[in-house]
Amino acid sequence: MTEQNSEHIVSLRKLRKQYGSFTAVDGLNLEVPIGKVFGVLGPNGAGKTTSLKMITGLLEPTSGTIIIDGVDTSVDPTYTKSVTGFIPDRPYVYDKLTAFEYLRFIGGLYHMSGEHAARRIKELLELFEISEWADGLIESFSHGMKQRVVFAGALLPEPKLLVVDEPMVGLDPKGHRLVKKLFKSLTEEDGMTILLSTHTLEVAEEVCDEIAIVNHGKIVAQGSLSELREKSGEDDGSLEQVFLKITEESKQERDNAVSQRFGNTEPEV
Amino acid sequence: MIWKLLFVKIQALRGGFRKGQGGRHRIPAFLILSIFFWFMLFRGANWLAFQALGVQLVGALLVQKLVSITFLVFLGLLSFSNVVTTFSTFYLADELEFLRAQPIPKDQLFTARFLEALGQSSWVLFVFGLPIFFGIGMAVKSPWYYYVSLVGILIPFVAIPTAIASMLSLGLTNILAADRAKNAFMFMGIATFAVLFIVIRAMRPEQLLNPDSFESIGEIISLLSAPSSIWLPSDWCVKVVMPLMNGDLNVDLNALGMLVLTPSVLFFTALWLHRPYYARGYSKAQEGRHGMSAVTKARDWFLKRKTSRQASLEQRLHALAKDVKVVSNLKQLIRKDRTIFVRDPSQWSQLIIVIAILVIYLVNYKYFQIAADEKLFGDAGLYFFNLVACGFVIVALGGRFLFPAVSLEGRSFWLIMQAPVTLNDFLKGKLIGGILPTVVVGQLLIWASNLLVYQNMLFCILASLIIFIIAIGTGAMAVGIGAIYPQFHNANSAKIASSFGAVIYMILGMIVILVMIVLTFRFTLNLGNGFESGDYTLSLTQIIAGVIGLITPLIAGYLFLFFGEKSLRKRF
Repeated sequence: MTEQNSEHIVSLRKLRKQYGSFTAVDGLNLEVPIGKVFGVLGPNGAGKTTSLKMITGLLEPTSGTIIIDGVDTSVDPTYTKSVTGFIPDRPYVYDKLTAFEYLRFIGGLYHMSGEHAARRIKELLELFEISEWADGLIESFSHGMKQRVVFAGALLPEPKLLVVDEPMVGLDPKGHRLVKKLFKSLTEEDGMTILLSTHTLEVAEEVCDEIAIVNHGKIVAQGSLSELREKSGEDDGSLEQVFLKITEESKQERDNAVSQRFGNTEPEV
Repeated sequence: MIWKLLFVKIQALRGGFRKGQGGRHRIPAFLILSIFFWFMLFRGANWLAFQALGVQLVGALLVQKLVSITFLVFLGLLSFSNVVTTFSTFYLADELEFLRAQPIPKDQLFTARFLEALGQSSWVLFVFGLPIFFGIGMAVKSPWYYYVSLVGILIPFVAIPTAIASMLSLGLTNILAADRAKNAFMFMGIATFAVLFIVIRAMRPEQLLNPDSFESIGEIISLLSAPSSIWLPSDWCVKVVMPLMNGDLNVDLNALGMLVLTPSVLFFTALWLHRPYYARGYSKAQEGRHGMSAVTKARDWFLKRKTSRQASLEQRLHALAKDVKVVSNLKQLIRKDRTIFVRDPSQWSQLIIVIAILVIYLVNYKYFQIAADEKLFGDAGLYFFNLVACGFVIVALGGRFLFPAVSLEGRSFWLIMQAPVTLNDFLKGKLIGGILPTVVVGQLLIWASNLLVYQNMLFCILASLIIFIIAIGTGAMAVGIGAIYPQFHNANSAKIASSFGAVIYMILGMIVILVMIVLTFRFTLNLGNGFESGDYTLSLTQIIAGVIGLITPLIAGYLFLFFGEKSLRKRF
């Protein structure tokens, strides 16, 4: 199925992921506009990472539809993956390859031409300041250095959509600044869309054009920061205050959620 | 505390079998295959012991030799599996960092790890060794207490290699200053190879196949009754088991004492040695992970030389830019695996096993040839025996190199899942990248062994074709079953190659080979014999059976690749 939708790069319709009797993502509907930084926030276990993994093809949805760049992921996953880059929270990559070999490998996976791959490798090695270590084995790199290599790998094929799970884990303050600047320039100058999940509210506040707050597998609020403030009644509050207000739940609600997840007690209705 | 530590492992194992973890089919699949294999081993051992008993004068001694060989083979297998398991259980397991930070007394941590290593490395003996001993016992009509005593004999028997391996790894991590843990594996691999070789040679099976070579009946009796070595635990087991098997309760108390006391002494010695030296060894093994050893230095030097010889980064980028072709993803997948194999010493140790398999095969083949000369098998018998044996070697190689291929992607597997590469292409890449050694070794073995006994050319070509098909089919099975039972958390290919899924693959691979050889038997035999007689007549049934036989491994390979892809997809 191909859908022409020039405004949104990602459309999720009634997306659902079930693990046995536990519902991790519960009928999620979401539209991510092109050329924006879109943040997904939520408490632990809310279903953020599961949703991102389904969008990137790492997980199969139980039901529902994911449209990326107008193409249904279940119809042509190779195409939707070819326009999507992913940066996971932990940089597990092939330790026995050098940074250069790793990037060339990624170029191969994305069917890039030699010329295109070479140009991008050069640009990205310079951008992430890892040219000097291009011939070093990744196993000898620090966590932050590995994260830079993963960033470079994800950006190499110039994806239309970049999905980032916890972008700041393991990065030093310099890395934080670099990433924030990078996100801005990728969206504003290159027209890329960034879909990120984070717990670092300061990052979300600073870089996200639009935010969706997810809880118990559902979107509980969505909009720009000012719209969220309005919705939560915390008119002058920081994103942290807004977030806490929106995701606040009674003990009863919490007990029901725990019981649904682990099935040890009967949920109260 | 010890039981708490072990219980947590049992719970984790049980968790892996949960419905939600995709483990729903694992227990039934394993049970069905195990029962089948169990029955085959039981019947085989029973038949062999029955045949041996039929040989006049030396029947009972032949049975004793059979028991002795079985214990020796298991001792060799236990030595190998313990070396691999003990090292990872004591020094490389992920949870060690957590456990060592907890207030767990040293002795209790040691005992829990010891029991875990013992269980992990010895379960195969209880699952696949017992039917052999039961089969022999049934042929000899042993009393009930023989069967009961087997469990009591096997437990101290399996504890000995575990205790020795734990001390060996303790010594290695302490002595080899800041050496990489994986280099130690290489060392241990060589040691294990030596042990395996000695064990196989100590059996001297060729003399049993060629009784005419003995000067007198006295010499046969003397060979058969001679103990392999009074220092080998397998010999103590034989001395305790044999009287019980024959309904005699007067066992050799000396051997029984050695069998019970040795593991106890070794266990307490290991425990005593671990108290002062384990922390140091563990710490050094971790240092080793970050590359301090001679091998690492040598590898880095080669890497630097290679890249600098290839020119600067700028020049390499220029060369890549000039490549007008689109960089092929299949080629890149294969190139990546090859590069990682060359740089990972833990994977090289697998080569030692291959060399061991080849040497043992060729050395023993010489004696099978003698057996053929003596008309014990006949030329045709030798030909088919060789096909089956060579097929089994290929299955073993597939288990070593192709089965772990998917698992070795490890935690980097997310890269493949999110890249625009289909899982089908990914598995094909694994097969194409890893099949060459299996095909080459298979062809070398089959041509060398057939030319050695002057088989006619058509027989040689047919055997070559059959072995080629087996290599491709079982290779695809190895990759597919490796995808059904992946171990992404396990970075040690030797451990992956001896895991639960690998056992399933080995059993299924052997079954496919036997089915193929049986179906193509008349087809091959008639064509081969026709080369000399000029009569190539084949019935329609023989042709159909032959064709079905030839495509059986290919169909099995295709199906397992398909199931592997589906299973990987379902897992995420």
